Amino acid sequence: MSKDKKSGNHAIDFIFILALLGVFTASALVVVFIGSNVYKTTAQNMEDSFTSRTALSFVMKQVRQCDTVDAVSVGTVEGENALILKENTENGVRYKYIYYYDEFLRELYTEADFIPTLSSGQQLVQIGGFEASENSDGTITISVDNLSGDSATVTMALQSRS
Amino acid sequence: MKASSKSSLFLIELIIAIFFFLLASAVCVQLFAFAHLKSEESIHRNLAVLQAQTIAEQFRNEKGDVDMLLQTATFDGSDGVYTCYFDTTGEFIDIDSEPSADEYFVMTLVPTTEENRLATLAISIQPPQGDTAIFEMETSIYNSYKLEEE
Repeated sequence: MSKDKKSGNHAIDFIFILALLGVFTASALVVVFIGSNVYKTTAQNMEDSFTSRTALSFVMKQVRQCDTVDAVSVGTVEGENALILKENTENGVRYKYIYYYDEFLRELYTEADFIPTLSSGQQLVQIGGFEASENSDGTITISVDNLSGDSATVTMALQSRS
Repeated sequence: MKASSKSSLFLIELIIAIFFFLLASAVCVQLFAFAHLKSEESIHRNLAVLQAQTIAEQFRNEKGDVDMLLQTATFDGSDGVYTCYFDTTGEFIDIDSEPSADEYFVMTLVPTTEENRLATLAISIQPPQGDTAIFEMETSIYNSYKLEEE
């Protein structure tokens, strides 16, 4: 009888310790899981922010650089929306097309008589979409989608139109 | 007797390990929560910067004419302090539609004009459910539209 009781106590001790170990392991896994989720979200947010801000900054810098009379316009390349910047160089007029094609923001720098094609532009940064539009007040709105599909939009006033 | 003593020792060791684990995990969870809040703040600040930049550009485009600027969105207020609201996608919204408090930013504009015609616009943006500004900036331009009117 006493031996049976001892044996029962021993089994309960063992199960209790095992259960405690199980809880300990589960808690450790939960903490690791929370940590990995937070890291994943933060890294994704940083990546998204970097993508859209880099693309927007690039386009804005290009517009500021070419902000002369009738040099900034919105048009199309093979039917796709594109920002067209005109530059007067020593060797004549050059056009810079900035547009989105095949998951990349692209830039194409050409002579005036060259007919641009979507695939001939240089890949700049991988994004989800790009759109430029001219507003009735003379400003230009630029919108960049990151790879998660979130959009970053900014409106620019052109010195040449003010 | 010997086996019981061994299991008790293991139990005590396990309890001590769990105690230290709890302390460490409490610190870790706090850090994770802090990191998550910082990440959210970063997203909000990015959006706030873009919205403030857009308003500043429009102020410049209107040559410092605040009345024209106020037509670009639904601004409330008077006496030199104007407020408008935009959601987490950057779209301006009408506050009368009663959006949830964690869904909109508050943008406050304070335009001033000095005697030398230097028009300044102070832009301040509060995040959803935030009391303090997440982004503030000032932009100035000589309001040449008045010269054109004269």
